[in-house]
Amino acid sequence: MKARRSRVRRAGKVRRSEAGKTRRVENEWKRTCEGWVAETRIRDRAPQTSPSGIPLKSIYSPLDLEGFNYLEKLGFPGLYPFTRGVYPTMYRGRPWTIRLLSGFGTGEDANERFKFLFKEGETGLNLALDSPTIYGYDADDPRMRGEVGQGGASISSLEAIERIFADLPIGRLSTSIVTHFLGMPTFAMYVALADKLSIPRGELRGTTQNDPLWLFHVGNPPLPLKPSIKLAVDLQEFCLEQMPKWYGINVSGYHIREAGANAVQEAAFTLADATVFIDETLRRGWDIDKVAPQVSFFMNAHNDLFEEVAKFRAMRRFWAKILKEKYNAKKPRSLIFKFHTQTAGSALTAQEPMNNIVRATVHTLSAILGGTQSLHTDSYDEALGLPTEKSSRLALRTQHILLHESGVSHVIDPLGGSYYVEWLTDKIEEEIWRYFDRIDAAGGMLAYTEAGIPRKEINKTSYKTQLEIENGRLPIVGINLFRSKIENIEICRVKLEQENKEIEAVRRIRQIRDQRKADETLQEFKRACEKWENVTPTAIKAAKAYVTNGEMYQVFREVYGEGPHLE
Amino acid sequence: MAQRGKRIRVLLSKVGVDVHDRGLKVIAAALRDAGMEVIYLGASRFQNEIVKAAEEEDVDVIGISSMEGMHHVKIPDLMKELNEKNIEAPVVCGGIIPLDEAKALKEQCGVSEVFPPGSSLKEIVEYFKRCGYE
Repeated sequence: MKARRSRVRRAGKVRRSEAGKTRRVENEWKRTCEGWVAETRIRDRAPQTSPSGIPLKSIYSPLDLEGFNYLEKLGFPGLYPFTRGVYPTMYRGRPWTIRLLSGFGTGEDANERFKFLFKEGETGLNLALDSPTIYGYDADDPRMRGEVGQGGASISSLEAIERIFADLPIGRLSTSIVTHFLGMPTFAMYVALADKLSIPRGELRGTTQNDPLWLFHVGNPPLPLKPSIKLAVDLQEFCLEQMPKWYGINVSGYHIREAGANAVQEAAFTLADATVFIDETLRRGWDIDKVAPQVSFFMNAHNDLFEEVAKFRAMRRFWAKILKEKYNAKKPRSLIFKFHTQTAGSALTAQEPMNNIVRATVHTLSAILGGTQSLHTDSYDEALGLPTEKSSRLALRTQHILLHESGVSHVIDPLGGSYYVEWLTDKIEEEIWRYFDRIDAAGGMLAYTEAGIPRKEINKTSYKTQLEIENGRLPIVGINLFRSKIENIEICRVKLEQENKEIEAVRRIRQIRDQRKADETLQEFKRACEKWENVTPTAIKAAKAYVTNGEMYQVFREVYGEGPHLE
Repeated sequence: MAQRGKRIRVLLSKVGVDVHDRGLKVIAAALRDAGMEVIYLGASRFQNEIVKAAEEEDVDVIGISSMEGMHHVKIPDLMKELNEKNIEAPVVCGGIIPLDEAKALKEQCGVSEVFPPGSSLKEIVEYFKRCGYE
C-alpha cells in the first residue's frame, strides 16, 4: 500500500514537471511565432472563433486538457459515457447504414428510385414526403396544385404506400420515414401495409421522424403545440407496446441547423426537445428504461469538420449523463445517443454545383468520424433540384469510397485523444449544459418553445451568417471567393403529369373504397382524438379502410385547431 | 407606391405549404434593417391569404420566395389573381428558380424581378427600394 502511494506520488511529480516543461516549450514557440511574424510579415489570419462562436487558439496541447480523466471523459465504445461510440465494435462490426433520402413524383417513381439505390449498394430505405403530405393535404386538394410530389413522395392513402413499397422486402429492410411533422397518418398506413402482407408488427424495423417540435423552432406547424406533442407520443407509446424494433420518435436537429442554427444551438435544442417527449411518455406511466432505448436522433453534418465531430461526441456524452443522472436510467441501452446524419443541404451552392461533391465528402467524413449510425449524403445538385440517378449514385459512392478505401472506419473514434477535438468536445458539452440551465430556469423546453426563444435565436444566427457571407468573413468558394455564375446542369424536375397521376389515384380511391367503412373508421378516429386517447389503433383501422391523410388531418384541425403562424 | 421619405411597406410570403423560409426571413431582416416595414406572412400560406393581405395592408412591394419548384404553377396563379384584383404592387421573386423559368415568370406573368441563389442582400434591398418609390 505504502509503496503504491509513493509510486503515485512520483508519477504525479513527473506529470507536473512535464506540464512545466511543456509550458516552457510553449512559451518558446510563442516567441518563435512573434519572430516569424516580424521577419516574414505573415500574419495570423485565421478566424478567432469556431462557427458556433467558441473562441479558438491556434494550437492545442496537453496544457489545454489538464486534469483530463480518460475514463471519466471517454472510456471505451459501448461503455459509459459512450463518447467514443455507442456500440462496442462500431464500424468494425457493422458499418453505418447507407440510407439515401429519396422520394419524388409518383409512387412508382419513388419505388423505382428505391430499387435503383438498392441495386447500387444502399442498405436502408429513407423515404421523403412532399409538403402537402407533411401538412396534411391530399394530392387532389386544389390548393396543392404544383406542390404534389415535388420535395418527396405524395402519400394520400394506403394505396400510395402500396405503390411506393411494391416488391420491396419491408419485413427485412429497415425503413426510415421522414415525416417532418407528425408521423401519424403515414405510419398508420405503413403498419396497415405490413398487416396486409402478414408481416408481424414486432418484426418491422425502422424509424418515423415524428418530431413536431422543430417546426415550432423554425418553419410553421400545422397544429398547436400541445396536441402535436400528444400525437407524437401516441405513436411512440404504440411502438413501445407493439413494435420494439421501431424508433417511434426521431428527434430532429437537422432542420434546425438547415434553418440557420449553429452547431451548439442544433445540439442543445435537439437534446432539449428529446426531453419533452421523454417527459410526456413518463407522465403516461412508462419506465425510463423502456422509453429511452426507443428514442433516436437526426443530425446535420456541416462545414467545420472538427466542430461537427466534437458536436457528435459531446452529444453522446451529454445524453448518457442526463439519462443516468436526471432520469435515473439503469440499462446501458437507455443511455446511448443513436443518430442518423444527413449532410448539410444549406451548405451546398447553386454556383459550380460540382464543388458540392467535395463539400458533401467532408460533411460525410465528419459524420463517420463522429460515429453516426446511419447516413445520407446530399447530391451535388441539391441546391438546384431533386437528385438525378447520376447524382444520387455519386452520393452513394462517396460513402462507399470513404467506407472501403479511406480506412476511416478501421479504428474506432480515430480523433479521440486529439488535444483540439477533446478540448472542443468539452467546450460544446459545457455550452449544452449552459443551455439546459437556461431552459430549466425558464420552466422546461415546452415553456422555452412557447416563449419562442429558440426561434428568435436561430433567426438571429441565420441572419448573422448571411451577413458574414455577404461581407466575405465567412468564405464560400464560388460565392464570395472565386465567384462564378450558375451553370446549367441536368436537373430532375417533377412534371404536372406526375402530379396528375397522384391526383387521379386518390380520386379513384375515394370512388372505389367502401365508403361506409371509411366513414365509420374516421368517426372512430375522431372520437379517439376528442377524448385525447391514444389515436394510433384507430388511425391504423382508418388507414386500412383507405381513409386519406387529408381526411385524418382535417379531423386533427377540427379537434385541435390550426397551428400558430410564427415568424 | 410610397412617397419619397415615407416608409416602404413590403409583404413577404411563400405560396403553398413549402416550409423552406430561411432565405425569406433573411430578406425580411435585411429590409427592416434598411428601414422598410415588413409584413411577414412566411411559410405555409395559400394564395387567397396573400391576396387578402396585399389588399388590406396596401403594400408597396410583394416578395415571394420559392424553393420546392412550385413556382411554375403557384406564382403564375397568384399573379393572375393580383392582376384581377388590380393590385399594382410589383412582385419580386427569389429562391431556387431555374433561369429559364425565371425568364418566363418575368416575360409572361409580369413578375418584376427574380433573384437567383447567390444574389447579394445589398442588390435585393436596393431593388425593393427602387420598386417601393417608383
